[in-house]
Amino acid sequence: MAMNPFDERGIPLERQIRTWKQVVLPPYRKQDVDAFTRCRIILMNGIEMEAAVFSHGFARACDDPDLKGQLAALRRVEHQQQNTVNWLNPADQSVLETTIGYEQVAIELTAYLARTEPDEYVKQAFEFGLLEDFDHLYRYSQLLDLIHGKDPNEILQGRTDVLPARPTQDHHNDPFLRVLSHYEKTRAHPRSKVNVLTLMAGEQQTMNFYKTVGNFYGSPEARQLYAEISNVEEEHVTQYESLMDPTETWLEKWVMHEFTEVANYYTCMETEVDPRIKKIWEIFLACELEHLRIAGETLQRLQGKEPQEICGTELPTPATFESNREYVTRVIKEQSNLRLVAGGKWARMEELPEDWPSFAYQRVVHEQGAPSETVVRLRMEAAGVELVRAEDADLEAGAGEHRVSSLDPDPAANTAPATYAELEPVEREVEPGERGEERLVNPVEDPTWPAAAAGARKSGRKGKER
Amino acid sequence: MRATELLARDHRAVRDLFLRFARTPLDDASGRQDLFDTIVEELDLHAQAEEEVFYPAVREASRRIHDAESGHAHLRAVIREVKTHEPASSEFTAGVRLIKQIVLSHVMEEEGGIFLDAERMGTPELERIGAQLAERKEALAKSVRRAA
Repeated sequence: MAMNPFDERGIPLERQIRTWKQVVLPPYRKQDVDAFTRCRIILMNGIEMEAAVFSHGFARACDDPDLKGQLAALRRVEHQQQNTVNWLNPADQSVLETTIGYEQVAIELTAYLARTEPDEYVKQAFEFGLLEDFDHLYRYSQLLDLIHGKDPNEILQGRTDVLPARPTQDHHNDPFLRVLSHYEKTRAHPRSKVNVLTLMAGEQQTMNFYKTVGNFYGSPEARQLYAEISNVEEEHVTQYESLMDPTETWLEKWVMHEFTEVANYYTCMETEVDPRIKKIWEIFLACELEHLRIAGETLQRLQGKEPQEICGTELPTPATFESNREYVTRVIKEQSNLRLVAGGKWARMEELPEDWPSFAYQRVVHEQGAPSETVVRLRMEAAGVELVRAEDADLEAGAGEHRVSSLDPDPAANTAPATYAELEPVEREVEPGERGEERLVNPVEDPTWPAAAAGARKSGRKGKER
Repeated sequence: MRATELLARDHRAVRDLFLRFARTPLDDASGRQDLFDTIVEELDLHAQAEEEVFYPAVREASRRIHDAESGHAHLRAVIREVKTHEPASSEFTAGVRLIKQIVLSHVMEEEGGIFLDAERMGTPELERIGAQLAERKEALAKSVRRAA
């Protein structure tokens, strides 16, 4: 697609402010929304979140009241945009259903960006992250089935496979290993800059979301899984932001942010299947064109540089959601056993030294088991098999074996075996009562509960001695 | 004194001059012109000393020198343009405001970028560069005074 955003006219800033009713639009219906429309909404919320985070960071480093005011004026509009976009998500979409949507974004976005990335090093970084998000979808899908009794395909609509890749318990790294080498701003292709910023924004919002909503579930297993995976997303933000050239000036970064927003809204508008939501993308594209013009004009005025020097004139199409199944399958097969090593590089699992720094962290956090393994065990116990959904029958049949064979040499003690037959019962903290009538879960809905509770109060103990 | 500290003092001094300019009434043409001349002279001395001493000394430690140099070139071009306007004119006022914005942006990038890069060189080296910088600034100031 060849569109030069610098040739286009946007909506003047003073006309971009909308009423509250215009800001808060009716949400989509989760029963009939297109899976990739939901993906676009989730992604664009992340893009706007990064715009706000960046702009506040810029303002805090800035001693120029005029520039601070200009940044605030744009933030006010983008705040409204973000409200509109994020609140298209309906109230009846559960946290876990939304989570499956977030992982679908992470997988399909990362895969598309990796496929189209011109820089081989950046591409490798994306492929490495891809397999981690892919495995997160598989772990959350076990939970969705356990807690809501739902199939992940109600959300994914069969467009994304649910399979283990690089096991989540192995995603926890020594922080220094996550710091990769950055591109050089004068040599990097503008598409690389847009790709990195887009993915960083998406991962950052995923981290924020999990960190914020993981406590909405009462189940300790669910809460722990959110805690574990949000921690990996934190690592992903570290990884992707480290790819950016730190010598980009604040104004250059600002131009890149606005350019990235334009590119993403433009892609959304071009690919949207829901006419009502397409109109929203179109209006926000027109807003962002003006933001880009303002940022570019400021760069020219204050640093004497043309914005085109920073980002070129041709819009990339980062927010393209389409099937990447074949590509993802190939990366799973070839790279599940890759691990991060010093110097912004990767090595095969079998090449890792015994003192690989990530082992130390993993031993600490997994000492009482990895939540990402617990959910697989629970699903196996409940249904006799882990939940996998793959178009390729061989992949589906070999999922358990792949999961176990992709583990590094120091797996968590609660690691789920490849099949149910190998599963050993987990020792419970609370033992069942002698006559088996004691419950292990919250007994509030049990009609016999008041009597049982009274008995417990009488004896001062909850269980065994009655 | 460390070179970065010396340069940061210059930054603060010129910021104060911009404040004084903003407080000078529009009808005080000679006051505005005098302050403008002082600002331009301060910026000139600072930029020249940076280009001759500081930037060459830290070029190995920082990849931001090229941006800083092109920032100076941009600033000089804007100053040349502003000089063509009458001190009481709105173009002159707008021009000084633009110069101030350019300087503030440059200072933000330099103090948050090159200075941090230069810190890796260590205090003794930064003090050595600082002494050279002070000496060069003094020599440049003397030659400006002689020319006046």
